[in-house]
Amino acid sequence: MKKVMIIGAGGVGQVVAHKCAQLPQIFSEIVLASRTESKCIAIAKQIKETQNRDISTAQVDADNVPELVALLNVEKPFMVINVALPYQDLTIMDACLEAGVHYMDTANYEPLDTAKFEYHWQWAYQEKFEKAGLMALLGSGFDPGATNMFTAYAAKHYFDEIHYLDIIDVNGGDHGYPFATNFNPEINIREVTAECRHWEGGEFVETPAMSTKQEFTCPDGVGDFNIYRMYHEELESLTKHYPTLKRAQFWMSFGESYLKHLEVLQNVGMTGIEPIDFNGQQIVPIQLLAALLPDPSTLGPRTVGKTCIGCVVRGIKDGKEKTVYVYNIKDHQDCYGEVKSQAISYTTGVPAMIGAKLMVEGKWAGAGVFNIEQMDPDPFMEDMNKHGLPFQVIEEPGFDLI
Amino acid sequence: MKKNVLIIGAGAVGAVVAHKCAQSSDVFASVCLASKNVAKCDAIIDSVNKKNYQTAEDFQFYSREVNAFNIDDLVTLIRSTGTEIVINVCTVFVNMNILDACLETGAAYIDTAVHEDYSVMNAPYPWYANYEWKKRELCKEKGVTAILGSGFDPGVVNAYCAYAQKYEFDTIESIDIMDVNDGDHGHYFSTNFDPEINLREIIEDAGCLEDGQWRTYPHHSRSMKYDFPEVGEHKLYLMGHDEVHSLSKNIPGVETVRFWMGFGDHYLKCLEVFEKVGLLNHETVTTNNGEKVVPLHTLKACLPDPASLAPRYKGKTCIGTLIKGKSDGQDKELLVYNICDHEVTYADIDSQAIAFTAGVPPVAAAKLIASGDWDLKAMANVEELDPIPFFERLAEMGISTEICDLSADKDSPDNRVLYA
Repeated sequence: MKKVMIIGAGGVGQVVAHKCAQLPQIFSEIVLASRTESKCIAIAKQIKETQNRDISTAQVDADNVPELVALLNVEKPFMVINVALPYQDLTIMDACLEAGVHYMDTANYEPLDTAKFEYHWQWAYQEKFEKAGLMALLGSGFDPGATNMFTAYAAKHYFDEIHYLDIIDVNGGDHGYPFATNFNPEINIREVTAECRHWEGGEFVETPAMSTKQEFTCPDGVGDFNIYRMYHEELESLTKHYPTLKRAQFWMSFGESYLKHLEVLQNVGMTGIEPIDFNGQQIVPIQLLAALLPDPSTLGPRTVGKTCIGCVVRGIKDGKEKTVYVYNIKDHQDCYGEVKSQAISYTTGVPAMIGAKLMVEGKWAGAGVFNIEQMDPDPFMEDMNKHGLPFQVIEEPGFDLI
Repeated sequence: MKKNVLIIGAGAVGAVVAHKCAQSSDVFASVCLASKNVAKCDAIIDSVNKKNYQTAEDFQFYSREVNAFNIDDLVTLIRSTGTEIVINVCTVFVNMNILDACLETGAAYIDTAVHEDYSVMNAPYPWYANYEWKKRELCKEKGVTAILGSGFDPGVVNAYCAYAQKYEFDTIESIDIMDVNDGDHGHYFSTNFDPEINLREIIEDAGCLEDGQWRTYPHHSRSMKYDFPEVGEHKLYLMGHDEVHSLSKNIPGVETVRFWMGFGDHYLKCLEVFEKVGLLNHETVTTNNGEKVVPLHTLKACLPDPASLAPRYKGKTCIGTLIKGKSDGQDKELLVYNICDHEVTYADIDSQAIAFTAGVPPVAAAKLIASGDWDLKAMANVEELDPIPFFERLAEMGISTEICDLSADKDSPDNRVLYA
């Protein structure tokens, strides 16, 4: 039984708080902290209503190391679950080192001014955490997180050596709007328009954004989707920790309507962040767009359909080639019923809770900075089954992937 | 006597009117170009001066600032400039102010589009009866000439109908006005004139007269293909347009009057996105920062300035009127049309063909008022006037009129140039 501090009270923070609160025998005390404490209080109230459990809240600026250290020194949690903005990973890691608290996150650090999904900034903390005898667990969301675990689980139980990896992230949810973004439209758009990178022949290969697509049929009747190859951060750590991989690719589904809207809005400049002039009035186009588009936080109640995220792993077992598909399917409305949020937040928040649980229980331990696939996947997979994200395995799924 | 002309509006069409007036110093003694933004007027005057047109020695060409929402301001401007003919190519929301100022001062009035109220979408049929035609009696009483809708469409296409009625048909049964731009401006998306007006009008209900009944359809819900001379086959969509409202009243016995505009799939895709996201709304929204913003204004600020399109525009426009009816007891079908080349108009006066075809006809009308041909001392839509001198003036200024008889053999129609 340990005390944890969750930093970040967005959609994911809400799910993590709800799920941790469901396990009082693990998480004996929970502090939810954010720049805007009113958001934490609203979540605490939800938890009180649905579970009759009290969690405490705090106000903190996660960009400010001394402020973070002061709060950690007062609260003295066992660890921090960081679900704040990716720009704040390093300040929170610094504060954990100073206060002697373990660290965990769900997304890698990004500098504020450039869209770069790279681990080197956080890997550079290896020695500091090792010397301090503290653990920093990186990327314990769904992707990265569960997808790394699916890969590790397949490698451990089904293969002698893995050679090809395709991570496929399908969101089959429908919110009924012609166009809406699941999170901040600016970040959404930046991700989709970034140059694609995939691992092949011992290096990352760059191709134009959204230039490679194929059709994918999800199992269990979830449906047929166009999936587009793009870069995603787990490719960097997985290819490092599984050097036998000859190729690793990440694919995400996008609907035609979503892409059409994005293309038009971007090309006419409506996603621009620089002010433009209309008869002397200065207008930032993206801010108007954000005001016109549905608020991402209102999508939960009206989103129907399922997410289907999994890994197709190809490799060698006993000298023979084989293929294994490890995946999870999650229904948006089930998530909303349980924690008042749609599946995008749910599938990120549950693995975050599980990662923290395994650290609290001591099943995952170590001194230094670790990507999640360096941990034993078995207890994680077991907890996925228990806590709302059950996984399936199909051997020889017969997909015809490019 | 040469006339003093006042041009109100310094957009892309205003520039065309200014250039063509400057090329017509044999008819006009002076030209004043006025707008709320006088710098735009001066930029146009600069572009006219750079062309070094041969002008009469005493010809005067100058700018003034005016707030066209203020009738007193307009009256003062008309009087102080000695204006005898006002060419209104300003935003359509101020038509009635300018017409009132003409009624007050006795100056002749010309416009190219029907008055609109900014807050009203899908105004009732017929549009002209909501505002302009209410002043018809007063114009007659005061002896003020007011020519309504004297651009290309409305305008020249109305004259095509008048011509057909007078010289080609005993009875006209149907009129289909077709407007296609086969040009390419090289931008991802741009409107060819003020996006605020253009994007409003194309998402209004499409009203038309069919079988003697006034009908409306959702925008872009009806389409057809037509194979045009020179520019080939295009997909056209039924749209509401000014001239449908006057022609259906002024052409006796006509059962069907429709307006069709060519739209490419890419244009319609963009339009659909704008509409669905709410960017075409003209009601104010508040952003997270508390800023009050009109979505359509933001979109307009993002889009290319239509006045900047001309240098890179390639291709041609084709605007025509397909007229069906009876002549000597026989079925007859005629296409009266004009082809206009963006690069040719740019070489002439630095404008693209869409602004050119809209801006030359009001100058032709002004010349006809000056010459007395159209100085009727009353209000009229173009189809009520003699089309022949209009075609002649248009041809002098670079707009030809061609006619294609489709009655006999549609595959090898009889094509002839009426005025060039």
